[in-house]
Amino acid sequence: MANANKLMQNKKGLDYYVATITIMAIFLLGFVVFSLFTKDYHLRSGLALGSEQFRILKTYANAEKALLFVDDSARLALEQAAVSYGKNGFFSSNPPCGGINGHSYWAKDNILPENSCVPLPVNPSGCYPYEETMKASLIGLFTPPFSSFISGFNEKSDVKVPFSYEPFEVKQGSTEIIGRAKEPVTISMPNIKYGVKPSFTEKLGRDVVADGNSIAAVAQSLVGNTEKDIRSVVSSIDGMSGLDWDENFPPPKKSYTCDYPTGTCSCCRLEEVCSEYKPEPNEKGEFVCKKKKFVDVLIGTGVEYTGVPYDEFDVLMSVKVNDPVSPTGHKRFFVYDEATKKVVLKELDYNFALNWIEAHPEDAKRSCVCSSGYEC
Amino acid sequence: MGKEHSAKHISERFKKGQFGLLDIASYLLFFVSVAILILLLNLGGQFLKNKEARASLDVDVNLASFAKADAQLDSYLRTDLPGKDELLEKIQWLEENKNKNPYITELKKQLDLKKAREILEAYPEVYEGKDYSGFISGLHALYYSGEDRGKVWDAFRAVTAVMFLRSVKDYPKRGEFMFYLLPVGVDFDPEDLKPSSNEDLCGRSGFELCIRYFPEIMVPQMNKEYEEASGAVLAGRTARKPARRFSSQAVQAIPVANSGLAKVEFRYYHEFKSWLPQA
Repeated sequence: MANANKLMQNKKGLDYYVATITIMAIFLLGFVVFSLFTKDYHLRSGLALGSEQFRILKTYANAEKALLFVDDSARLALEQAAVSYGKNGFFSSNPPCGGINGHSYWAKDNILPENSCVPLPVNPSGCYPYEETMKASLIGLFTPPFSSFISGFNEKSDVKVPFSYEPFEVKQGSTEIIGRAKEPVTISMPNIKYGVKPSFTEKLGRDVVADGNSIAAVAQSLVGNTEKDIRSVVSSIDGMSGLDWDENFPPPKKSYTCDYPTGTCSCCRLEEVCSEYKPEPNEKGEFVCKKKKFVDVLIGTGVEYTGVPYDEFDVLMSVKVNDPVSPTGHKRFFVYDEATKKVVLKELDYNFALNWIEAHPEDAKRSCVCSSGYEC
Repeated sequence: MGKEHSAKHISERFKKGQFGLLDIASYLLFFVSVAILILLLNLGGQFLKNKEARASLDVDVNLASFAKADAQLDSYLRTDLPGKDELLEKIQWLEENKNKNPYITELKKQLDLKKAREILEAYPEVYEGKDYSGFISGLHALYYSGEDRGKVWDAFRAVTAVMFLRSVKDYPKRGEFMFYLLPVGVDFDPEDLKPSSNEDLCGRSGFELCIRYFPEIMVPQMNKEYEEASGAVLAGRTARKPARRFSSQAVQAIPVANSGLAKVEFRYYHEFKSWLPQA
């Protein structure tokens, strides 16, 4: 026992024990106090229970609002694009063969002297829109109004939608347009950052590309037929596949003639020559003309032309989509009319024109063109 | 080392009742240190004010109701409208029930169903195959196209009423239903997308289209001070008084065909059922 007491009393470590513990405690306490008072949300911040959680919900809701706007904008832009697409004959801008009275030419002939006045298509590869052309047209007509909607939203909203998409895609079936966003809608708040990509898929409810394919196929069979035959074909397919056909035949532009050179011809000039002289000479010994007459005198050659009369036909076609619900019987959409600066209800109307020329070489007439004089 | 410092000696002193002042002071010092420590750590919340302490226990009902309002408006706008026949049938139901239920009678007084039908029959494109958001976009076109604005107004109110009319059991009458319609307003040319500050959404609020219907019996209740009207107790905590009397609002922008946008505002009264007169 005496040894144990002696041992405890002589332990050198005890000399430093108290000081060490005290210093350690001070540092530890200091650290804890410092940590507590530098927290982001102190107990005295006054935030109610669930505040942060509801802030997160509110953030989701704000992003959802932007996404809803994008979806609705895509739908409206698609309707606008469909109406323009139909009006332009499935082309987005200038059709390859021009147009007439707001209808794009799908077939256009030309009759030129260089081609011996034989009617030939203006575009050897044809003026009909093909499926890829139709899809590209639809996208080309969709993008500007969609972009405009997004810009309008970004002007007024605190949440901004970036207009950054992969190339839009069109899928057939019910004309589905797909937009895959490259950048997200980002909402940043203290302690919260949320991003969601504003991709969309919207449908029109009508397969306008399939309509274009079927209409183009029919149109190709109509060119060159008589008016009677065309009317017969149109009336037979009218109403099929939900499409109502209507044609308009302006009177053919007759009395056109195409002249092409076919050779040379003799050209003459009228000259007055003496046809009879007086039998006796005058004092000077000259024989004086008693009687004159006009005769043709050859002065050279001219160009011979063959004039081929031809008739040019323009048929304006209008194909509307049947809709039993609509009061007019045809599908309509609300679209913005640039001319009147108003939103109007317009029918989905596929317009195009067919042009062809019927030449009548059997009625061709020959003519001679002289630079001076006339044909002998 | 002296005899008086040995453990045995100390023990003997205790037995004799000689508990020294030094020992007492050292114990006191210990407990004071602990108390200071507790104060520093604010474990007991000694530095908190009542307001701050209460905040940690409170639930802000407004935040929840704003979230609910957003969700409700979103679901409204994404609701698909029925086809022509079904929609007109629903409107016809209002006409047929106007004398069977007092609340429908009151609601019907605000609606001109005949004018609404005229618009809906002339322009089915406004709602056929569309959701409620598309319907509002379509009405925008009619509103500015030269169509009778009164008819457009009636069409909006009729369709909103048949689509989103709500009912609760009419407690005083037991077995009947009380109908009400939460406020929805549409501003076709908004300056911004902030919620309206008008207490009555449809009263001089600048909304081109608007509807709300609260039964007359409810109006005095709604006009009472909020604290009296909505003393709802949630799970043992007290609901905090909101800043405004007209509960929570949600605003959504929807596109219209002229590349503009319309503002749709909705008000949700989470405390509505608590205002119902109880039997």
